[in-house]
Amino acid sequence: METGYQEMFGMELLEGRYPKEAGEIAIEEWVAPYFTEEGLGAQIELSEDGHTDVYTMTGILKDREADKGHGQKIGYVSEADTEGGYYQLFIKYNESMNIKKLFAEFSEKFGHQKEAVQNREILFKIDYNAFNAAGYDINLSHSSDDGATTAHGEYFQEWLRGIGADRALGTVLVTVFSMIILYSIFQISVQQRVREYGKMEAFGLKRKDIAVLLGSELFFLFLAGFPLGTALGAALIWGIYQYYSQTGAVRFSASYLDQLSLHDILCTAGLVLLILLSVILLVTIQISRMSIIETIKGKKEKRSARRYLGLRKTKKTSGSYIWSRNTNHMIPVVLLKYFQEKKDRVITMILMLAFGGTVFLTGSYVEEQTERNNRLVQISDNGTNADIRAAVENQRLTGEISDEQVEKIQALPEVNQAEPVAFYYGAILLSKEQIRKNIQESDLSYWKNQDKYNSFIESVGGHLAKEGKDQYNLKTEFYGYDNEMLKDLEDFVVEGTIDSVKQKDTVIWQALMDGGGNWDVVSLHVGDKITVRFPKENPGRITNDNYRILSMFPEGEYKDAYEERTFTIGALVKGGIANNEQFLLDLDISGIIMRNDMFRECFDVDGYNIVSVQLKDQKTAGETAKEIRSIMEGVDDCSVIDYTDEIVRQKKYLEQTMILVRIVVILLLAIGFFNTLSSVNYMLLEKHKEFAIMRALGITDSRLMCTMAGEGMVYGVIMSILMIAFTLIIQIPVKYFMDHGFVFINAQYTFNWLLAIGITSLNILLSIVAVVLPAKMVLFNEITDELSDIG
Amino acid sequence: MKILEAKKLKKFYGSDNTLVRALDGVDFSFEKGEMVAIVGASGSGKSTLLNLIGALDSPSEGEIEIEGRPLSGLSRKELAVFRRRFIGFVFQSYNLLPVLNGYDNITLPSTFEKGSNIDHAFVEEVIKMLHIKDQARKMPGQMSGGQQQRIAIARALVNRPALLLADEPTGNLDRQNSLEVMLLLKEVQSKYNQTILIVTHNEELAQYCDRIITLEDGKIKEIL
Repeated sequence: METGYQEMFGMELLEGRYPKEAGEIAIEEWVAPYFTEEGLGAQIELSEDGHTDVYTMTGILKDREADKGHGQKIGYVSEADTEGGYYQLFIKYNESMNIKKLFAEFSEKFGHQKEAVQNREILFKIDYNAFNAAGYDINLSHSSDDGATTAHGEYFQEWLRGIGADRALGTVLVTVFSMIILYSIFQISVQQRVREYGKMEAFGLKRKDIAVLLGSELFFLFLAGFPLGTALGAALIWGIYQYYSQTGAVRFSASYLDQLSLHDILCTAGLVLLILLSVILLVTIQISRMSIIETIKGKKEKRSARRYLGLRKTKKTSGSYIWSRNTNHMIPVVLLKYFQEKKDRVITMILMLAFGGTVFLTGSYVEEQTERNNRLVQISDNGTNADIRAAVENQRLTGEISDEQVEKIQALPEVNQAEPVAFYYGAILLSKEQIRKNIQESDLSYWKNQDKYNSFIESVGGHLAKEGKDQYNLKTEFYGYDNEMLKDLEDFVVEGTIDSVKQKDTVIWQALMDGGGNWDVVSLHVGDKITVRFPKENPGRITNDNYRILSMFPEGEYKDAYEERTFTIGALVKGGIANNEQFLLDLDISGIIMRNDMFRECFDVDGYNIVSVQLKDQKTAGETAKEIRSIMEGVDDCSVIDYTDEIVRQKKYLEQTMILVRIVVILLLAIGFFNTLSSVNYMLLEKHKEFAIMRALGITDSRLMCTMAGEGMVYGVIMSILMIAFTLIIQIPVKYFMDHGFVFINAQYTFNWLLAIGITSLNILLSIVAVVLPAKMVLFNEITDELSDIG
Repeated sequence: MKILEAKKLKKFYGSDNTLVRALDGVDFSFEKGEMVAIVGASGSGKSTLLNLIGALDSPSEGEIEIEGRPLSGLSRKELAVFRRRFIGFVFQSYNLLPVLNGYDNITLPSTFEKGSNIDHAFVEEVIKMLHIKDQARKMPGQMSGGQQQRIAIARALVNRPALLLADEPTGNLDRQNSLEVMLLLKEVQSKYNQTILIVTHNEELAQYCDRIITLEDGKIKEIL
């Protein structure tokens, strides 16, 4: 075992050393108690195919959750003990490179067809002899540590790489931050600068010199703002990378955020400079279209053009409505007109805050659904809904864990609840119409060419088989649940009710899903009758023959060995609890869930394969696991796994995800707030003289401030209405993506009104503050100074 | 009846070596219904005096009383209320709000008073007197300088102030319009017994006033 492998797979030696000599072994910490309670130096016996090998334990490795989660006990021996085995070559590639290019290079080097590369089959079909290696596998799946595959992540990641967006992300982040800083500095000073340029022009400065002057100013702003923006962007990238590295859960996302290179910074600098050049050009054009006096005033007089052209209007067509005939509240009218003059700016300002709020509410919706999904993932995939799980990891069909053992576990004082599950296997008979069309057309036709048996073709990971012209069978598992477990299934329900299983011959259909999170591969619904087939007599153990024969039926010679029975579907669920990956060697399979008593009546199974244990206090997990191990003594291949650490880790991961979402949202709200502040400030700067006139005419500071606050409140209300509308609209695509991205939940349309009210209040408060603060600044100026200004 | 009394008014800017004595011990008083012109060269202190009387600025020393009410000691809010109720301003550059039409500009100050209603009959009367009916629905940008100044005079009158202060009201107008504005102010004085204080450097127009106070270096040079 190379050190590179240890690094790639996150192996960490807790005690001892890696094996050097024949007969030495290193195992993970959680595996050790299955073999010995003694520490390093203990003798471990491993049996296979009738012979037993004895190893000396030389090292204890830190648990790797992926292996532990699947109950996969792994030991590492020295090279001397690998005779007869085979080597695997693991290649770690630069994750920020173009994956398509990598594939193409592999294809070219090893002479594989492009189609094979595209189907990702190539990596498993290497000519072993040619490369002095038993095979190699570039792991593209990036299975997350909790065992859930991130199918969408793979494609998204590849897509990002394909368009080069992985490299661009750092550039974009830094550019955004730099531009925000430059915009904030420049926007506040630009009007003042334009006025100064006007004065300079009046003193003889040429307009082309103004462009140079403006360019110089922006360049100095760039020198100050760009490093700051780069630092902020880099800090954010670093923060995200740290976050993902620590949680280790969504590695694909971290891969392209791993570092901010000099290349990124230079690209960003080029981009920002290009934007600044555009600004210089635009402002110069704007100034060139203004007269000197307009430049000094800092605004273009609309009437000037008419005046120059002799087109002065004698009759007004707008602004002729007399407001004061209908209201005594003229100040809001004045403010409204001011904001109308700057409607683009006001709309941007409102949209910015509304967007911030929308992201927050959508984030909360996603959080709620994510929490639900995470809980269901825990329950479903690896049993971490249980603090401890005892699982038989073989293909025996007899139910190795007895009622008595379950009762003993339940009787342990630290145990709150022990839920046993029994398994059996079989198939569901389906008509052609019940199989989604594209499955029939693409997958089946693809597999047809690969068919080894000629008598049938298989699809959906080998579980769906065509056995007649329009007849299919889908391999499935049967589960017997107790009442408590049935209750836990409530959240997985897509159609129907769990209670329906109380009726005779009524079962729950655990839908089959494709890689895209669609659970309509097979069209089965509540009320449908399904015919299932299963071995009439319990064969005791699943073998490859059993498995194959199930598909070859009914033409095969084993016809009489199988029984068919019809059930009614009472509910449809998107996932199940405590799936068994031992029988059909896959977690992504369909299932028929029924009451335990019905299960026993149907199948010749007395015991259980899994017992999920809930503790009263998770602190007692270590001790209780030992006791359960002792109860399970004598049950072959039974793992007793303590998931309490994993539960803590997953909770922490979820919390960290939400913290990240909230940081982004707060950033957006802050940007919206400062944008509002700067917009209002800009407007008041332009209108400072009008405010001074009103103050001279006798408006009190408090009246002005109240009116401004009222104005802010109106903006807050408008942006809140927009926020709610946007949130409800955005929820539609978000729900779609969650339905397909989250394997188990059937996402619901929900709206957290309490949170919306909270965000609305915050929006209104921010709007009021953003409007009142600059207004307050205006009041600091002396009326006489303001009135004596030019223009 | 004395409507305004200024006692030993002083206004200094800066300190020590940079000290500027804008007003240096000015005493005067106006009777109700009087129209007074304050004339003087640039920097003589006439605008400073107007700002002090209009409660836009506070004196360094001395006291101003309007209708017997001293301005010293009034809070910022009370000064705003005082300006609204007792003073009407007419500025050289009109200072109309560009977003409001003529009528709304005129009525604007009367809407600052909480709970009060606009006296539309009085507004119409003033509009008629100042011959600006056609300008009522126009925006300031659509009016000539003379028309804007008439709107500004109407605005200054809308709250029936004790004192109308006009700072170079004809400064931006041609001779004909300047004359018309002065005649209108004269008409306002006689019709409403309005006390008017005009700051101007145009001694010819100042002749329309009842009295002329000449300022020089922050001091009253003569009162005619």
